[in-house]
Amino acid sequence: MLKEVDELQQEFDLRLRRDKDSFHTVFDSLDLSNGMNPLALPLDIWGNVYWEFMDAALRDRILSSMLRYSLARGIKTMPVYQRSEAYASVKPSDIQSLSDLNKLPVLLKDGDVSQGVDGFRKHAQLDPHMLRPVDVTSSVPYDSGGAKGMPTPTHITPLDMEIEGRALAYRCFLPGGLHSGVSLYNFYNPTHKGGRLIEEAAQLIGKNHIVMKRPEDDLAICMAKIKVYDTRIVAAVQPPLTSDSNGKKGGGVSFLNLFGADHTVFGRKHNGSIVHRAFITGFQLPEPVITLSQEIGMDLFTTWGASEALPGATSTVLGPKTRTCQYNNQHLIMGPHLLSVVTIKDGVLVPAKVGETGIVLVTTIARQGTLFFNYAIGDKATVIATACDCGRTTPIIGNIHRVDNPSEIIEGGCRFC
Amino acid sequence: MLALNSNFINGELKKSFSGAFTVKSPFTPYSFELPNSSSVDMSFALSCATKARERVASLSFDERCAILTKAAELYAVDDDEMHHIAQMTGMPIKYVRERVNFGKSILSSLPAMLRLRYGHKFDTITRELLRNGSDVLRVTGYETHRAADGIIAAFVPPNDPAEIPFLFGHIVMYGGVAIIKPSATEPYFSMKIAKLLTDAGYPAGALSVIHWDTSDATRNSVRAELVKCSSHRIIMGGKKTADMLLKVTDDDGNFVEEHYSTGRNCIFSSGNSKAIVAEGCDVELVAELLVKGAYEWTRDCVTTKTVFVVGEQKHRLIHAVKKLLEEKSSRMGSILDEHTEIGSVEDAQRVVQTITGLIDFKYATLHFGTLECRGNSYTPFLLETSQLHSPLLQQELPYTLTIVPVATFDDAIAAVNSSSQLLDDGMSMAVSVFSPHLTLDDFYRAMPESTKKLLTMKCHMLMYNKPSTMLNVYLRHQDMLLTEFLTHPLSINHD
Repeated sequence: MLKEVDELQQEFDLRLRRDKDSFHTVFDSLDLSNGMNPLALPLDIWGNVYWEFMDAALRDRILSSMLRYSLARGIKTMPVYQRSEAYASVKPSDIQSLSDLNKLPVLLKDGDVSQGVDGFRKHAQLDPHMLRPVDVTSSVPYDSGGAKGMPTPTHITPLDMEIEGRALAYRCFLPGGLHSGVSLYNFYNPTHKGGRLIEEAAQLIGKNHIVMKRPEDDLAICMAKIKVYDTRIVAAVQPPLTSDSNGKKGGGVSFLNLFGADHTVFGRKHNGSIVHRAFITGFQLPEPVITLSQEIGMDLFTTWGASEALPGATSTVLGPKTRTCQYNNQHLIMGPHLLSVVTIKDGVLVPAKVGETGIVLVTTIARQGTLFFNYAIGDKATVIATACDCGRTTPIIGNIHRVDNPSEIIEGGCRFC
Repeated sequence: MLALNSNFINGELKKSFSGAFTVKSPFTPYSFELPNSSSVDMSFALSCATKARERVASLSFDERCAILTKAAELYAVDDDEMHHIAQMTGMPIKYVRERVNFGKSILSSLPAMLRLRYGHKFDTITRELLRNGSDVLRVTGYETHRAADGIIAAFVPPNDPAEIPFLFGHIVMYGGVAIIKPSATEPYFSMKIAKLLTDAGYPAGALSVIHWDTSDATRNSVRAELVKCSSHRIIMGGKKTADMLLKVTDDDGNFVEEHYSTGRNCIFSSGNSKAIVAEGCDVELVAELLVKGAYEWTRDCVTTKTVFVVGEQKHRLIHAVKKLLEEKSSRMGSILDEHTEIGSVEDAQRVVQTITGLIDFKYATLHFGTLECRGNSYTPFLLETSQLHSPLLQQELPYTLTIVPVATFDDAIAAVNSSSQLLDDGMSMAVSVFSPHLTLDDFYRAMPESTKKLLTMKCHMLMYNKPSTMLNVYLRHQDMLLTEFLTHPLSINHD
């Protein structure tokens, strides 16, 4: 049986108290003044739910210490930074706080030849190894979406999958209302990193059945399996409603395709309904889908993620009703990656204030494989709040949308990689 | 009046999950909100339709007849509803009332028509075709019509409220499940009739009506979803409408796929109805019937647009028609006034300019009408041309009848064929034939060769000594297409 929110909240509160203790056990004895190797930490730390609830200043000290280490390693081992003129003057020791990230160059996938600005896509097409640290000997290159050209790889090791899987499982899925026992149907493409991580995270949580959609499964098979496995939770994509809802990401079946096949299966409104909770991603949750979920009584949450970094931010199902972090309003998940929302003023990165919309930059802090620093992934977001009734201490971002226009950054006069 | 800011899904008026847009009457200050449905609403409608199929399939022929009969009994359209239709279509209220009443008569007639034409046996639409039909072999046989598999998508135009009971009544009689997208210009009557039939017992979800703003590019995916998920599509509009619906483009406007080759498409593109006036007619009577067919409500596919007049009676006919038009022109005014005869036209200025241009360039002679607009209206036009390729024979200008003089009756038939060939589907919808012979039998006896030509004319309907608008639900119109389109025949050979 699917546990309802109140029961799960009690379990989560218990976990939070336990995780706080274990968090301090790990970090209290560590010296944060030098660069700390994030990969040397116990794996479970990445699934520790205390990260989002802890004192922000202490979190900043811990993560900036790790960033110093990873930045130094990236500069030393990754061709993309070694070849960059902009990185010649970067000193990892200058990173004393996460706000110092704003001093680092912005990494661009697509440059602008007319302005003499280089991007890494054209180089990565010829030499995908430029995005892999030379100290990595075995990795899987997961491609980006490739909406604007040849996809670029993010090199991921098994350890990286374990790190991201833990963060997704405990810091996104648990507050999203997933729990052990009940079955989850994962409609994501199993060959994509997101699809594999959902499976990994669901296994960590201990789902009863983790049903994976095979690319050849049609809608009828999917609906039949939802019923036969008594699937209480689905993980599915939902492209923007302006597009053909048979989006590419999910291998052909979107949430609305499922709903359109049999609406009585979803929500709590109909007797005999099955699916009561849904994890849906794909840019933003469309507002009509949110309205629908409210009307049919289906819990809904989302997580920001990409092959380059996952998870980056998440909304919640658990928490007080007055919390801000619902639906498209997502708390930043700080570590193993870091999203920052910035504007560019006179060539300088300035953190976006509450209410401001800016460019989303991705920084990877804990990864064996590809390390991104201030990578302009092609999204914009608005800073919604810095405090929330749920108790998390990380900023909330929302209104996340795709603006894959490098000129916005280039014309801002910023320094580039 | 039902709430217009709703879709009709799963047997109930349902607010959209996706916002609304404003629709304004082109003729009066009247406006209302209509749902701007997204794929979420469409998914809901598709699911409800799928679920309704089983319940619809379990209905017997008699039960479906009973639903139509009950719907006809419950059929009541109040003044507010009539006013709404008038203000959105421009149709004078007098003719709204007439067309709405015709809708009721269609609903009550369809069961009997189906029984008569296609038969009723084994609780289904089944007709006995052969009984001991051969001397050599004893043969008996039936032909049954079973419901179409899948979901019907219907795109309905705004021009005539009678179309809605006509279409929905057929869908019910064939056990169809449909999602209807009415034109935003007049979206109400579809909801009204879908609810009426549902209230009368047709399963909830089997007739859904969904609205969206077709000028909103973000809603192209809704149309694409409906087209993709439907097995049968009824498109009551021309080829341009069909192309727009069946050719799918991506967000950047690039052609992605077409649905002409998928599912089944029934495209009603005929119009440009015509008349032939044979020599020796009672000209006064013919003028009366012509005016009825051409000017009462002029946005139907069966409205007479061109009349081929044989021989020397042209001047007398023009005189008689003009006399009647003078009377009609004296009754122009508000479309909500019960005495108004001439309705409003959305693009009145363009029509007047077109006609002015044709007259200026000697493509046509003006026999009646004033080349100026009166608000959204103008006096009815009576024109004459001798050119079969004139735009007057291709366009369907409201409140405009064009006379084309011809030497013989056979010339008239040839002219109908020639001008029909230039149309989208190569056929005119209806042709009225006015002749001094009382019946077609009489005509055949008098002119057997011309009758043969008449019966191969390029049109869907031939109205003998009747206005082209005088439809008879017992006879083939579009309904024959609908029957064959919406059902699968099954031949039963038994002994």
